[in-house]
Amino acid sequence: MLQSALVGLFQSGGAYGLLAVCVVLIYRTTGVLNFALAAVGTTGTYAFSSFYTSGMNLAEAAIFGILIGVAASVVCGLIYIRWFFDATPTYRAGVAIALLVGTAAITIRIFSDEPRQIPAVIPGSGFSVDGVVLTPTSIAGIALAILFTLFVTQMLQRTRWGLQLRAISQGPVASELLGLPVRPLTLAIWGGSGAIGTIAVMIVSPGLSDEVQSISLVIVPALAATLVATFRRYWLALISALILGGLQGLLLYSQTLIRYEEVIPFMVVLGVLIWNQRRELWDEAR
Amino acid sequence: MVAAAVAALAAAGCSSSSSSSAGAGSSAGAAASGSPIQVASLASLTGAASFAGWQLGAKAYFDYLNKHGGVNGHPVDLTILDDAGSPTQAALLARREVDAGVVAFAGSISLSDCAVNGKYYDQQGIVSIDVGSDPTCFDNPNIDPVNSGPATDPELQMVFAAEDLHDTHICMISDAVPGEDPQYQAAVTGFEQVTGQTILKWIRDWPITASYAPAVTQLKNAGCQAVALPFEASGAVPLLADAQSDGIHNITWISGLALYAQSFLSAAKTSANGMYLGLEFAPPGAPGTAQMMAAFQADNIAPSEPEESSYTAAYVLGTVLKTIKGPITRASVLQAFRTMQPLTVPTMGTPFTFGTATAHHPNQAAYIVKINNGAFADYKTGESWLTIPTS
Repeated sequence: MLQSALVGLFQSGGAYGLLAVCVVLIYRTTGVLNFALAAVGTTGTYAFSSFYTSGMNLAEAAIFGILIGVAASVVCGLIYIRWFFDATPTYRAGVAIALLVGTAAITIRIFSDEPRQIPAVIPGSGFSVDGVVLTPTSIAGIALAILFTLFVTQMLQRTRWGLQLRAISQGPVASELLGLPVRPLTLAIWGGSGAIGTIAVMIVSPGLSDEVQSISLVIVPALAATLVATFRRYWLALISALILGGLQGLLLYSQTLIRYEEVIPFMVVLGVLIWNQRRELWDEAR
Repeated sequence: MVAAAVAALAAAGCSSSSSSSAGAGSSAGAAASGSPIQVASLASLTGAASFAGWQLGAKAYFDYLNKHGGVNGHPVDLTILDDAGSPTQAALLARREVDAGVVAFAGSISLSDCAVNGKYYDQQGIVSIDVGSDPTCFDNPNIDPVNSGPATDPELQMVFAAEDLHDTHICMISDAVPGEDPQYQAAVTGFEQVTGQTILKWIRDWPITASYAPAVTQLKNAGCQAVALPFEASGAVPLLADAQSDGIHNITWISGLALYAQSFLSAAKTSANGMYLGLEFAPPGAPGTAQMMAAFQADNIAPSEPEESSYTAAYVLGTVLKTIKGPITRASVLQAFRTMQPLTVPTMGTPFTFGTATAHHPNQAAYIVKINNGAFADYKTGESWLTIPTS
């Protein structure tokens, strides 16, 4: 049973963690809950797979794939900056869902829905722990998620860019009036998130069904983790994501509980929402 | 011991010894010029789950038939209809075509045709020789599917592991596809009754969005020697890749028709080597498929199993139509099917039957191929059909 949890933790936890921390970063700096992050990552990962299949070496294919993910994410960012810069959070969330669906549809159109094997971005057979094979890619996923969280928290707290981003998160229009480079910085965040989203999907997708829709929906557990972290706390988002990965692996072990595996992120979301509302009075919360 | 359907294969390969394996038309060489016989095919060509292209096999058969004399001089006019996956549209189109005078349906493959039109076909006395896309197609007196269905495939895969590969630790993993679990349960029950073995491990309802790595670990730790894998390529490719990266080489993977495609071989690469597939129809180039290959070539169709399935359905209908003496009507077609003898079909491993049964399931065989060095190869030369033992 613990083996299954370990597989889930290493196979999915790192990727969920990267996505969750990235979602918090985008939300805190741009005010957008980016549902399309994994879809953009899927575009980059499909490009990586196509480049590799066409004969490019693994490292070059990965780099070009990440660049495609960055480009796709920057396009999403430009859409926000051009048309939804001052939009309400509700509008922004709606646009994010549209971008999720649109990006997935475009990815299928470009790359077709033919079966494909997405190669492990770090090749190698790994090693076995208690009967569980830990691949270099899955270990790198966990390590990368921890390093990325460390980088984000330190960057926001200790650098000039971090200070500017924090200011932008408090009020983009006011920050722009004060002369801060709001739009370039926002685009940089979108571009960086495209890279992280692509890396996360590259890590998790070799074990998943190769359908674009399935891969794009790895954003769901990541969003559940960000909700646990109240869209603010990076380390809590990471830890929640890792736990969710392990928990999903655990449920996959039980033939009775297996059918509830896909429900877990939604149960977490529901649980957190109910918990957050626990002190509300009926009339006020309505 | 598993009985290969050698007789069927031999009959299929003999071009002049039986009516079923003769040319498509009764007067080869002369194009049909009489009044056309109206036939329709209802498919979900667009929509959520598209069967685009599946109808080309039926079209190729009737094109070939018409060029070679048709049905006693009458050409068959095939109308292909797209219900876009909509039950409402499927119901409307079926009624429109019946009102327009079609005498039968052939090669239909729709998400909802059997479920929403089955009763109607029964009431109207119209025959549908269907590809068989869902379990309701196998439970109707007037619909007879040519494929082997979701229960027979995995059962055959497990029986093959037990009887031909002599494995004793046999497992299965099945996806969480709505409505399919009872079919898999029937497969497991059938396998256990036929072989006397008990399935070692069955992982059922695997979520299609979940990683396959935990499943691979479970199958390995259970000690499975062979695993039936009734999966689409989208699930099989990552699962096999996981098994390969985990260094698992002592499990034999056995799957079915869905993986019989060059695109699967290209995607799976070396991870599929050593795998077996049980096909519902004889693969292109197998004994008895010469006429089908000629028909496909004439229509510029690359042969694959989807086209073969509708070709087979059309072949059955065309062959039975030719036995009808007198006017070809809805009633005479139904009568011909009800009184027909078991029909040897070159692309099927068991004879096609209809009769007066309230449900039909004639295809009880699989043509076994093995994947060697990234290519499909016959499992046994000339004896690749596997049928479920009757006792």
